[in-house]
Formats: sequence, structure tokens, C-alpha cells
Amino acid sequence: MGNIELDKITFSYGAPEDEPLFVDFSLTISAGEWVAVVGPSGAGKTTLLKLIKGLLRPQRGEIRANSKVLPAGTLNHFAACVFANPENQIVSPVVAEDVAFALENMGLTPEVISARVEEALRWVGLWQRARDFSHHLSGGEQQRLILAGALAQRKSCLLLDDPLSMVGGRSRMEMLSLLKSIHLEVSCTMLHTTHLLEDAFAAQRLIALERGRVVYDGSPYDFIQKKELIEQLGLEVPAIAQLVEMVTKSGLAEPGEIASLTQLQEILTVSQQRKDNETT
Amino acid sequence: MLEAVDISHTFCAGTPFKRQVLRGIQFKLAPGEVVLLTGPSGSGKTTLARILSGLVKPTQGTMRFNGMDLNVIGSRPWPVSDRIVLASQYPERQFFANTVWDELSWGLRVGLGLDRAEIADRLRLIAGDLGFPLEELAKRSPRSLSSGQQRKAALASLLALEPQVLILDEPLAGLNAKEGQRLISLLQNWHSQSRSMLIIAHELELFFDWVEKVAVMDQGQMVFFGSLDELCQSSDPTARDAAFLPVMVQFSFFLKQNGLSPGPITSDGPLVLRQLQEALTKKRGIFLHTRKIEPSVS
Repeated sequence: MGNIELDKITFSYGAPEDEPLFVDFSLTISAGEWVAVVGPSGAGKTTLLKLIKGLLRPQRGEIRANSKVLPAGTLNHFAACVFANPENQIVSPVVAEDVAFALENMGLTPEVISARVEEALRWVGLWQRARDFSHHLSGGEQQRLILAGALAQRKSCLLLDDPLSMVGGRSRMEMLSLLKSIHLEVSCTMLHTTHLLEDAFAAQRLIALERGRVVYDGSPYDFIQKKELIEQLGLEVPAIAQLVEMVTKSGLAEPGEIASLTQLQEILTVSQQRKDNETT
Repeated sequence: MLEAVDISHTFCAGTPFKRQVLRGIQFKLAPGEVVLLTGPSGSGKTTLARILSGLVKPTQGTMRFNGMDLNVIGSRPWPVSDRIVLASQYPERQFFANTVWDELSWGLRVGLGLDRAEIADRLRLIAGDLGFPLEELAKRSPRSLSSGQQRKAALASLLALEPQVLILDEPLAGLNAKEGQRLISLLQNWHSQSRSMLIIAHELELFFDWVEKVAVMDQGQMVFFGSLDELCQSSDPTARDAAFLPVMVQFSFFLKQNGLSPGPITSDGPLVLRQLQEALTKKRGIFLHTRKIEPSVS
């Protein structure tokens, strides 16, 4: 459940004579796969998500969700969306009611709705704010709220458009690990766009877009070796990857051995302590 | 000098929905100073920015600007609206005019009451400073510009007011690395001895080597106010945790603390990589040696 296929899509926003954004664009995403989409503004990241959700319709070609063709004029009911401007997606003045909104529309029973609302709000760390006014939430909290709304629907596919752009530092790490555990737990297909390469590492597959063309499709780890492409796309190699690369090159660690700053520091600290022991 | 004295704020005070978001904030922004305000989401940064810019009246505490008390009851309209200016999150979403020129000139025409010639002078000046192609874009709809240009246009409309204090709430949100870098150099150019800035940000890398002081908020309180070096060395782990220091900063602090590099503590990536390279060159033998004997020891 949850595979997505775009089959020779052609899509244009403008007049027929304008050059279309996507021309004969094909992409297959397997069920349960987590794909990060990167690229400069205007590359077509958001458009891609909107096409998959059925909010936009290609002029040519076919989109299939769960191996079924998405008919013209219908939404993809296998997918839940989170878009970049949280305040445009909040529909209820009260936090818990906002999460419940989609569930009510899905015709679920009040018991199921209450249970799912609580679960989703606990996931994103907003359960204590359940009765607060949603417009009293900060930008980052609003982003977590709409994420809760999408998670509560338990769709087989999650489409996240820069879902953490206003969530910073500690909460950002927490949200990324939340997405990881959700992906493991419910094994849904996930597509998320981001402008930070760090975030792309949570995904199994990275797709880089430029003006509607796929310029990279593969592992996020291999992508960071492609310095010229990264530069060309206006992205930055994550700091940790730069540090690890240097330590690995010096022969102190095997490629892929160091995954975090703590590990990196441990390698250099252990040595330091040994050195102290040797000198004394 | 902008000064917040013992500011506390509760939303919906006196109702069942009351929620205290700020507690006893003390804060000073001297002329010419640039302060970075950071902390987890929901810690009260935006509310503080709104209070400092006069959009929200705090339930407790006083604000002073150049010695003038701003929270005297009945002192509305806000007496310093052209001197303390807030660029809220995604300022371009507040665009309302049909052309870039109307958008940029509105504050000068309606707010300050300047005449046509003065408005043109000021806009040309600020557009030049920001590298914004005003002549070319003047008649376009502001919403038809690229995201980077929209952000510039929004900032130009505020900077044209020539504020003494500029408060920016997440000025880089939604911009890519290049656009962000460009915006920061514009702000650096605009900054001067008489202009001060308070910048709210959660992606700190690009600001750390430029700002003089860092203020850290957590759960409505200001848990730290001082220089970046002081923050790294602070014995209070909550402050460091709430600030969530960038990887490069954490690592250059680690190198310095462990005697692997003389410093400085910095967010400048290439510089930290040089520090690491030097440490590796000097001590590679020892590192390798200890790494090799690792299995037999454990």
C-alpha cells in the first residue's frame, strides 16, 4: 500500500505556449519509501507534491497511487499533506479541534477521533496545549499542529512540504526523530521537501530537482560527495558531514563509521585521554 | 537605548484560557548593538519581539526608549512606531499593494507624511543599499517577485522608515542558503553605530560570527544574555541546550576545550575545518596509535 507512480507527466502553470515545468516526467516511489526532495526555489518541489495529491492536474500523463490511476478532478485519498505555510492550513480556533477536523470529515466515531487526536498531539508534543487557541501557538508550534493533523489521518502516504521550516534547534531534532519513528511504526510512504541537506539524511532516498528535471536520484550519503551539484543547487554540505569526511580521510575512522557529533568527539577525546596517560 | 524592565505577559489574562508566556524579562539593546535572540519554538521570542515593537502591551513591566517610558497608560498611538520597527515572520505575506512602488512608499506617505520627492529619494537610497532593482520592478505586483526579491522588498519598505531599532523575526525563514547569505550581508551593510538590531533566529550559523551578543529564551524566561564564547563556556546546560548551538560552534568549542586548537570558537565552517586539520596533522600519530590499540584495551 502506498506506492506512487508518475508516468510521463507534462505540467505547465502558464499559457500553452509557455515552456512547461515538467515534460514527460516519470518517477516511481515504492510503498513505504521515504524520499527527500531538494532543489532551488522554482525547481518544482511543491508542484510535485500537489500533483501527487491531486491538487494540480497534469496536462499529459498519468499519476497512479496504490497502483490505481488518479482520475481527473479527484483528490488522492491515500495521501495526507502538510504545506509550507502553517497558518493557512489551520481551520479551527482550538488546537484539538483542528486535529479533529479531518477525522470528522472522514466520518470516524467520536471515540476514535478523541483517541487519535490525543495520540497525534502527544506525538508532536502539543497535548498540553490541546485546549489552547491555535492562533496563540508560535510558528514552530503551528507547524507541529498541522503535522499532527496529517498524522492523525493515518494515510498510507505523507506529503510534507518543508514541514520544519519554522521549527528550530532542539524541537527540530525531536520532530525529525518523530518522523523517523512514525515511518518505522506505520511504514507509510513519505515525501518531504527541504532546503536543509541535514534533514534529507533522515530519508532513504534523495531526489534533487532543477527546473522540473531530476538531476540526482539516489542515496543521500552519496549525494554529499557531489560538491559541484550541491553548489549549483544552492545547497550546503552539512557541517557534520564535512568534519567526518576530514577525520575519515586522515585514516582515523572507516567510511560510514561516524554518524554523530558525539561519536566524532569521542574518537578525538579517547585519543586525548590516552595521550595524557602516555605522557604521565 | 531600548530597555525592557521586568516584562511579564499572560495571554487572555483573567479567563480560563490564560497562558503566561513571558516571565520577568530584563533586556537592553544599546545603540549600534546587534543581538541574536534564540530559543526553542514556543519559548516566547515572537511575543517579546511584539512587545518590544509596541504591537502587544505587556501585562506587567515597563519599556523605555532613550529614557522615555513607553507603557504609560493611554500612550496610544505608540509614540515611536517609526523608530522601532518590526519585520515579522515572512514579512512579504503582508503585501497589500498592487505595485512594488506603492508597497514600498506606503509607510513613508501615510505613516511619515513625506512628499513625493522625499519618498522617491528615500526609496532610491534604500534600494541602492539593498541591491534591489527598484526602477525595473516598480510597476510589478510585489507578489509576482521571486521569494528572495519579495523578502528584500518587504525589508526595503521597513528600512526606508530609517528606524533606530530594527527587530527581525526569523528573517531567513523560507530562503535558501544563498538567498540567506545575501540577506545577511545586506543587514551587515545597513547596520551602523546609530542603528541597532535584534534578530530572532533558530538557524544560528550565519549570525554567530557577526552578532555581539546572544540572548537565549526558554519557557518564557531569558536564561542567558552575553557573548557567544560566554554561552559556550556557560556552566548552565539549560542555556546551551535551549540555544542549540550549531555543529561547527560546538565542535570548535570542543577542540579548544580539549587543547586541540587555540580557537577561536566560531561558526565559520572553513575556519573550523582548518582547526581540525591542524589538530589532525599535529596529533595524527597519537590518534592513530590509540585507535589501533582500542580493541585490546576494551
